[in-house]
Amino acid sequence: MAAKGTGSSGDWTAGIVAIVAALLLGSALPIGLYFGLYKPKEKQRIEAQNKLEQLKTDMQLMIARSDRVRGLEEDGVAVAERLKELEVPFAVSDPEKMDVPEARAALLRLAEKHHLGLRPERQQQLGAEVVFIGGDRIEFEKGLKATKLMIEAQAYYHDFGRFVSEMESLEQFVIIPESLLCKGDTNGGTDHVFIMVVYVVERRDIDAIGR
Amino acid sequence: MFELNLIKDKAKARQRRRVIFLSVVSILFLAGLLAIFVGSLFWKETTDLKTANNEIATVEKKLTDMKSDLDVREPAARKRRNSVIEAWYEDVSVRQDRPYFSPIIKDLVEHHPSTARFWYNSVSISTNTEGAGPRGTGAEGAAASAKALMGTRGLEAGGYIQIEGSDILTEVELRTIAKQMDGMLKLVGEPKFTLDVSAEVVPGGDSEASRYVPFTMRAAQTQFTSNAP
Repeated sequence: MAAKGTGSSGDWTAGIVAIVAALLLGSALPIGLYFGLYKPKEKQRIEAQNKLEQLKTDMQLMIARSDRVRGLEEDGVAVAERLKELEVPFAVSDPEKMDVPEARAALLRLAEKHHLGLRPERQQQLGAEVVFIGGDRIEFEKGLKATKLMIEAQAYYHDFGRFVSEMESLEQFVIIPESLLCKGDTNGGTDHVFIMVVYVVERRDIDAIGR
Repeated sequence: MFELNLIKDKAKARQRRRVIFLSVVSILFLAGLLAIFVGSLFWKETTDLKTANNEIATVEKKLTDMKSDLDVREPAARKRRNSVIEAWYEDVSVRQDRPYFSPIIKDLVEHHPSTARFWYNSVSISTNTEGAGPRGTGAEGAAASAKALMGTRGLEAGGYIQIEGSDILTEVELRTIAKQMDGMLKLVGEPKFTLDVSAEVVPGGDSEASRYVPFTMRAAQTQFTSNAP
């Protein structure tokens, strides 16, 4: 009986040890996998997804910025178009010669129309004209430029008055008078000498503004 | 009897071993299943992480490209827009707010004292460079020139007036017509007449009948504001 009892109890003990060992060893594998591989990977995945969310938010902001920049560019184009319309009566210049040929030609035609003659001392000069290049070019604060022209003439006061009036209301050009000197006829006649300095406003290179 | 017990014991022992073996195998089988399940979770996480990383790389590249593009475009667009707006305002100002001389020339023709013959032998309209600052050279000089061009004007005119009567009445009349010179009032301010009575010329020696008196007219406003069309 003793041998029987000992044998039975020894078998169970060894069996239980084997079961517990199997339980321990068996659970070690999934638990090890869970904490050793899965958890760190899950942490990495969550971090990556958070980063992705942040990047998507940044992308939304960047898209909004892109729209804003597009708006700025469209504003620039629209204002440049309006500027182009506004500058239609501004003259095309020849910066090297400091001349505005078309405006000068228009003023010469106007001078002829209103009987403005050359001053006596210039009548013998070769190529002398009532309207000539002033040799100066000024720049306004925001880049607008104007070219100087001189008008020296002998004329009746009323003729010169009509010339000035018509010059100031020309639709093709914007001409700003700077100074006028009128010397009365020293012989007591009606032919006076007029010396006038005007500036003709030049057309800008609109495409180059702010670039 | 002894043999029978031995056989029974062997059977029991075999059964115990079977139970133990089955238990161990079941435990190991379940552990294996569990390990496979954890492995599949790990695999899913790996795949998700790879997808997320790919997406991150794509979005980051897009963001970097957009940022470098906008970093160049935005300041340029802002500068361009601001510059064309400034240019537009300057053009509008130059077109609308420029001085016109024809109103002054017209005033000189139209306004005379009714009781005296009146004529000019010199008229000078010039820019007021004091208000515009010094005219130097280079960009500053050009800017000062432009400021002077759009700035105030001064007028100085001189001539003779043929007075037949009282100097005082003539002076009063001159002050009255000065106030009527609208073009001058707008462009150069109210003109002031000065008679140089001491330099008068008396033809025929009868100063009560008629005399020529030199006069000067000056006007210069400090602030130019155009009412031009």
